[in-house]
Amino acid sequence: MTTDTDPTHPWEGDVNEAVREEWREETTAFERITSVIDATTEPVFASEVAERAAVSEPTARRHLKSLAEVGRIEAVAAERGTKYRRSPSILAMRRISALHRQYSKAELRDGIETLREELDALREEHEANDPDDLVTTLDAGSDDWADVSRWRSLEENLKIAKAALSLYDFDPDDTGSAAVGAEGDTSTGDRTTGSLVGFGTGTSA
Amino acid sequence: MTFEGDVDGDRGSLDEFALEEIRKVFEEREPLVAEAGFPNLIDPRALTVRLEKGISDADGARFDVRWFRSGYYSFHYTDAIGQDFRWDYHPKDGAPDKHFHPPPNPETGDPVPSCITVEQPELVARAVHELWRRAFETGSLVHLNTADNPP
Repeated sequence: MTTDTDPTHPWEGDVNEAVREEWREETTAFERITSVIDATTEPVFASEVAERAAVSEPTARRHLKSLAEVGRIEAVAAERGTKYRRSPSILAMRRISALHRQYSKAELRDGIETLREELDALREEHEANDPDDLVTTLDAGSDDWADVSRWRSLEENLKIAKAALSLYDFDPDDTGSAAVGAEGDTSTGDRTTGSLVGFGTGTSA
Repeated sequence: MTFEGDVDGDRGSLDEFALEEIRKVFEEREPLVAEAGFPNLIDPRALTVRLEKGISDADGARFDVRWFRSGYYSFHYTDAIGQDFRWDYHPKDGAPDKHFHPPPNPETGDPVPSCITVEQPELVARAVHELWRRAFETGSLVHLNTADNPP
């Protein structure tokens, strides 16, 4: 793996300022804006994105507007103008697509079963229906906050896995690839067992 | 205390996209990365970054990285010779939200304020990498959590 800068060469001064400076030098304004907005779960104004991405406000506004127009991010009408945030549906679709690409039908079914079992165990253990139920019973110092987070992740993972499984029946262009997947229950896609995988494989920009 | 038992408050669910950004930072910037990703994409719990070598000639090392929708995170380093430390950002009784669990053992030592103040996933990953790299180059854990260089 190669890098533009020598990783063995240490920074000078404060590490926080140094990494911000490096980031600005190594990336384009557009890359920094998408990177900032991809980490933004609550809607923010273009001015805030501009500051975080180290770009001018007009530049941020222009790129954000275009990204929203093509559906890559979400524009939210606010009292004083437009706010922006990452698109939950785009993010969900990227995950669904990665799962569909890397797991067979059988593997997805097994995975879904495992997620359901763990969810049942949490419901039983805490005598609550969902994580929000559990939150209302917890104090700041409780040991159960980890379960709240885990529970939220599990619920989301279950929805994503179910959607990925249903993609096997979806073949609008009639390419036959969905049917192949449906028959080949034991195929393992292009996932290599035992190794680490990422969501970006194959579709990342 | 382990990371799972260490969080006082709601940190939201895991943010796979922040973790994907962080994976790219390590892969692009660190030649010693052997592998980086999730063991299981159906139920991702943490990003694993495996390193061929650790600090002080450790034979192998890894970062386990967690990032949550709330922006809270944990970058946890462990290696083949038992060195163990982590930079965290999450609500914690008796410590600032951004704190560092120093070596040799983050489960027993008191956390101290973290020197990492940036908050973007990509920037936090770069800062963790720089701090780790300096410790690797010098073979010393003493200045892991010192923002200034030279220390």
